[in-house]
Amino acid sequence: MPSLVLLYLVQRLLSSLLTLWVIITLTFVLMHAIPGDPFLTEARISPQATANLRAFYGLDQPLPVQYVRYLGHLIRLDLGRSMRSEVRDINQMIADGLPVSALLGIEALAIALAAGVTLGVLAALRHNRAVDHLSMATAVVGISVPSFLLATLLIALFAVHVPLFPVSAWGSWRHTVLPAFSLALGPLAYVARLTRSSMLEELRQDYVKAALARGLGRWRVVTTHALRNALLPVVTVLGPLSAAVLTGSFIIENIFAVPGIGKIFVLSISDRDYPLILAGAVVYSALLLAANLAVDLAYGLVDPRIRLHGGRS
Amino acid sequence: MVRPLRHAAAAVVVLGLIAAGYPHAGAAPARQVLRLNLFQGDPPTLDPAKIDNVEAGTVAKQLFEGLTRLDKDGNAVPGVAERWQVSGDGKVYTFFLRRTARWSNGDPVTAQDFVYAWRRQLHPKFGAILVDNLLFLVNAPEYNEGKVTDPAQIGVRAADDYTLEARLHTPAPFFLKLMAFFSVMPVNAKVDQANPRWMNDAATFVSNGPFRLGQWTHEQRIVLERNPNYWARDRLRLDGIEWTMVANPTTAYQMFSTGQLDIITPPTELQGRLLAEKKAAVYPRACTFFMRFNNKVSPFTNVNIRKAFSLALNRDGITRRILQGGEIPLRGFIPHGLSSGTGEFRRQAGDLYRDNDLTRAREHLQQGLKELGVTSLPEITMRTSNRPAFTRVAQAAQAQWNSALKVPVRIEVMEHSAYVAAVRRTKQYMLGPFTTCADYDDAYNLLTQFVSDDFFNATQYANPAYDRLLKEAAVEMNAQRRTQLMLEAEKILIQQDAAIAPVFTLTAVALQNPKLKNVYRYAVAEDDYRDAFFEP
Repeated sequence: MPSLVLLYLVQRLLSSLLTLWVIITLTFVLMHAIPGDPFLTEARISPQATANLRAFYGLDQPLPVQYVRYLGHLIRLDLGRSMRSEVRDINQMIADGLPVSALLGIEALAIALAAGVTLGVLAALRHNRAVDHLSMATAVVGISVPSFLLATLLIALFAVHVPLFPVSAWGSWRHTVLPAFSLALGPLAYVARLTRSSMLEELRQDYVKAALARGLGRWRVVTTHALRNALLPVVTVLGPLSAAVLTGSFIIENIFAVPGIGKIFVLSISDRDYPLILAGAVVYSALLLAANLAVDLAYGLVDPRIRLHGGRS
Repeated sequence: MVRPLRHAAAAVVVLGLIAAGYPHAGAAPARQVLRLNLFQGDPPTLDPAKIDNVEAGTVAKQLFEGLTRLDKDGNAVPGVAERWQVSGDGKVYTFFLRRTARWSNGDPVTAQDFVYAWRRQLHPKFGAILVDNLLFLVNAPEYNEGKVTDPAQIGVRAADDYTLEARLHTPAPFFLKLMAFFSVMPVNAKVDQANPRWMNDAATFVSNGPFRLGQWTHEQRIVLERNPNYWARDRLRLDGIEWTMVANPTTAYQMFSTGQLDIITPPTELQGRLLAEKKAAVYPRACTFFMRFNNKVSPFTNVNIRKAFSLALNRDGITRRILQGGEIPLRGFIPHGLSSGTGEFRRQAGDLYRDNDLTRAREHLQQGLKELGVTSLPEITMRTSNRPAFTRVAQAAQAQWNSALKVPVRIEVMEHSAYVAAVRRTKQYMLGPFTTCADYDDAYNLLTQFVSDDFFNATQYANPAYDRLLKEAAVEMNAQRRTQLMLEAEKILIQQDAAIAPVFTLTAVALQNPKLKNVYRYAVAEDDYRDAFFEP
């Protein structure tokens, strides 16, 4: 029923906006509460120059004034100016960097899902055989090895010793391969294990035995029937998985010199770059809220038994 | 199930074959293009008036040219100014500009461009950070504070199109070297007035140096090309310079070893080995790494306790065994390579104490305890930044004080900015590691931070004799006397009062393509690539 879905969407959007506001306010309070200052470094900048700079960035105003001013700009979708760049404002920095990080994230998720599901299904079908043990061993390694270690190894192997791919930077599809793989490995392992156990569970169900008894092809039973049910838990974790990929991208972007937004947001904290810290909170929160909403909507598609408004079926 | 795997394997092989082929380290590129890296990432701006870090400053240095340049030994030589005169009292500098100097858009570089640039930078609402180099001009501090509102009052004027007159309120013997700094470069007045955002885009960027801005892709690369209008263009051998922005030192090292970069700073873990194998070189930086004592907090109110802690440090061990970055142990405050106005300060001053002087350290400890009226020291907490160099030195010092003086010191690690705030703003610390760097090639600018009422005196040191010496040195015209005053001041600060415990002079380690020649490096100034080239 489309109108119910619409109502659901509106409800979710409103609650998301409320959540966003709470996050922004908390971030604002916290970032001004921690000691340190963007202009207080070991360098000896004259007090007058510092005072001029603080005025230039509006930091000489009392905090409530800064807060209200910030919200005013935010409503007009203006995220302000960062101390990191005189040349681009924050909206421009995000416009430049977000597509890059998003591309990397989507590639990594695609690899993780495709390879992870495949590996998990294989392991379930060949349960307790060599393939199963090998797949799960790979999964354990994937979950345990930190992404930065893998990244450095991949560079050493596939970019230095055997120059198949560029060491770093961005520009062609080749530049995306190593970073996407490094980012994908952890989620891939997780998805593989999840798919395997979920698949094993499904294959034990009565309807599978019934379908096989009725003479349906084994392949058809597995992909058309069992897999669809087995994927439900995987859809569930897509939300947190997207979060992991988003936040994990900083390390990968750092190592591969990918011009995404991960790096600038993490650095903003130690730089005490207040507008950028707030922008980071806004962007990441919005993305996560959107991802969770998408997952919830996807439930309705994957399992018709689930109704979004949580009422009678 | 096997089919998809086979397809995938085939795809990998094919991709691999397509993506093959890279040059090796040490090759000379066909075009003479210098490939460098910006570790700190995209510069906030390339407007020389607003740059505040050395990396961006290095890019600006190749794009712009000031009144003077530095030769390979760090002496001021003609830049835009072909000659100059200095008045007897050292307060008036008259620069005669060469008529062949041109902006990249063909406009002549005039004295008005300098006047415009400096007034612009000193304006209180402009938001410039490194105004300090211009604060020597008459009325510059007052204008920057807003007390003087007429920019014509600032001590700089264009006598005519090619004659620039600068008037200082106190003599500054290093002024000519200062004029080579990126922060005092001229700005094309006509261009800036027509388009104040000229610096945001390569298409509108106008500069007067050996190179011009060809391309700026944010967070990715900066490309410089030869400036066809540069007055000394026939001298240039490089066709261009390209900077990538790789923040990770290991990745940059991989790029260097595959021949994609010509100069890098190697990762710290590799520095010791590379230096020992003579593959990397060390360059002193005019920065001192020291243990700062809070002179107003017990027990470091007592000079003997401070001396005990200072003399018990094994600086040689710290630099050679722990840091391995070619750092130079310091037996005085002023770092190696910094000028006194009449020569290298450190060489003239000599050693003010012996390193790892355990016997004396213990004597001072006993003396200090007696003076404080205690038999043992209260618990001492050393705060430190979480930056690796700081924590490593802190741990080394802790171990040394424990073994030599039997004094246990607790380490409290803080996030870097919080640590700096604790030391500089709230003075809430007992002792802790710190660095300080010279802004220009003269010891004076490092000594001022120990004057009792100086804004940067986080050490809370106060000695009227020291204050007096520095005040005299500020106005002393005779170079020899001035050097003497500063040498005496350092003696009081370190030998007599041990206000701080210097540890070492910071160094920069560089890995460079062996075919690259004529890169000029300085302790206090940015690298200069004007004369650089690759030999075949």
